[in-house]
Amino acid sequence: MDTQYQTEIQITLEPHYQTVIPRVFVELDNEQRSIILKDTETIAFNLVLDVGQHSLTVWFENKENSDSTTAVEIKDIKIQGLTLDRVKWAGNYRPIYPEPWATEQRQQGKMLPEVIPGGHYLGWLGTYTLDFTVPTFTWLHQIENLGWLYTD
Amino acid sequence: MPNKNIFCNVPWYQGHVYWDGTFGYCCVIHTADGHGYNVKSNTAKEWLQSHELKEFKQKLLGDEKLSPCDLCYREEDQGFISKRQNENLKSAIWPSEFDRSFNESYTRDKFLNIDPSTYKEWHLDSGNECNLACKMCNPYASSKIETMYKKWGMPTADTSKTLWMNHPNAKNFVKEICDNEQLKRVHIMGGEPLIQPNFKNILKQVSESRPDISFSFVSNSTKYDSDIARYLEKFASVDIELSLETVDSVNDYIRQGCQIENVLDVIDKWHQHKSEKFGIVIRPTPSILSVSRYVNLLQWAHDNKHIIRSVLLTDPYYLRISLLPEKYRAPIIKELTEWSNNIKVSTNEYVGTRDQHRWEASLKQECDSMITCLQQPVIPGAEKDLIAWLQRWDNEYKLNVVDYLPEFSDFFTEHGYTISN
Repeated sequence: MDTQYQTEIQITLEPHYQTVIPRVFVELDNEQRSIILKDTETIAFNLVLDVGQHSLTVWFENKENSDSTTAVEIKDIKIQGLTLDRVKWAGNYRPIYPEPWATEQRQQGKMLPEVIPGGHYLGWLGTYTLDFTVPTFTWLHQIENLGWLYTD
Repeated sequence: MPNKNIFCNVPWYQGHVYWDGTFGYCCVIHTADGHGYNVKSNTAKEWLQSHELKEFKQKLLGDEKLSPCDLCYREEDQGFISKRQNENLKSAIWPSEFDRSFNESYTRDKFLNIDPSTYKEWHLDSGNECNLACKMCNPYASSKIETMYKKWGMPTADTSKTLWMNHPNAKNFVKEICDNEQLKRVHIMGGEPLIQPNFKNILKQVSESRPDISFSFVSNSTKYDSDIARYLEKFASVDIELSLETVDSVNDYIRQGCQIENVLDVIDKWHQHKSEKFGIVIRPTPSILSVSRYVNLLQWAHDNKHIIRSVLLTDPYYLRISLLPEKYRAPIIKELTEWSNNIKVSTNEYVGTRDQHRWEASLKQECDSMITCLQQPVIPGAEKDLIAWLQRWDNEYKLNVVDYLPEFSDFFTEHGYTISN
């Protein structure tokens, strides 16, 4: 078995806004892209990745507290040519809630989750992170729950 | 790089024993090529290291299609997911991205080096003892058909007299496969395993020595046995594959000797055991005789949250769906398309056989595969053989195909179907 694999990952992001165009920062390991998301856009990575754990992260960077419309939606994530819904659901969204709204909510006893598993609609500032492992086809098999794998 | 249309991991990981004890390459391939390796006289290890098995593996790494693998090729050509494709997924080899996924498979080198190490699964044929005479079956898998072949003067082997399960060495063989720490699954086929006395003995032996594995078997859905259910509960996981063609009397016409009410009742009894570790899969073999009722089968499965995994019929050739003329296909395609459109579940995923939570996606996938199958070109030419075969059986069982499939009555009469009863 090899120790590194050429890995293609494409993430498609859809903006939602009225006046403020969302700005995102996308990172796969150490490769970074900064994007003004005027229209739906697909960001492609084609990297040689070591066998093991990796992360794809999307930062939603420019939402103002007064802005109730601007958001970023992760439409799909294509890995090695395969687009499977469960991939985007495998990620975690960590919102940064606006103040003082967040404190008020907590004072009223409303829980604001630190992590939203599977959350792929970024309505607040924050990050979406997809942790995955290389080789990716094996990881895809696992998240699709396709049963056991022959690994030896 | 192996060929994406040829490569199959089955001979590396799955051992097969045919009804007479012959070691086989795959359960889809029903005959050996005269290699002579047999559980009555050889160990599994001897078979694994045999020249014949190595040669077969070598061919699967090549570019030429293998005639014994025709069933899988036909399933793929007609839009179904074949056993080959499903099994390759266990090595994380994806049909749509074959080259890249083969290269990334943990077991790539094992394939390329024709590794002769041990199997992780065994598929064991329990023989032909069966209480049904299904029109698409053969004497090697049904004692009822064996009897009829003899009555009709047709060539057949004395299958029931040479069953490996009745041989003194059967217990040693089962012990050998259970002693293998890497064993993950034992799968029993038939005949009808639930009427084969030694099935229970083998089940007991395996459940006592290897409760940590998965156990599965096929059944014709005519028998429920609470003793067997108790043994099954001991395993880490269980899958029962239940045969069913249609949910109406056409099932009785095809699977001669059964009654649909009883069949559905038996399926319901097995269904009561369903859990995270106890799976039920409905296994039809769609043919020209059942395709017009397929939408009802899908709806019944949907109502009961069953998974369907079809094995598209290819043998005998005269029962294939491809024989059905266009004018009969159009209304079936329309019905299936409407049904599929009403299932609002994402099919942007690959549904595995055993994920009981994804029954709805599996049914949509089955429906869409059947639509694709019906959109393939008509292959006429076997009408005479079809009619002859139906008449032969219908005279014997006092049935008339027109009573069961009036929607095809013109087709049958046009090609000369007549019945005296």
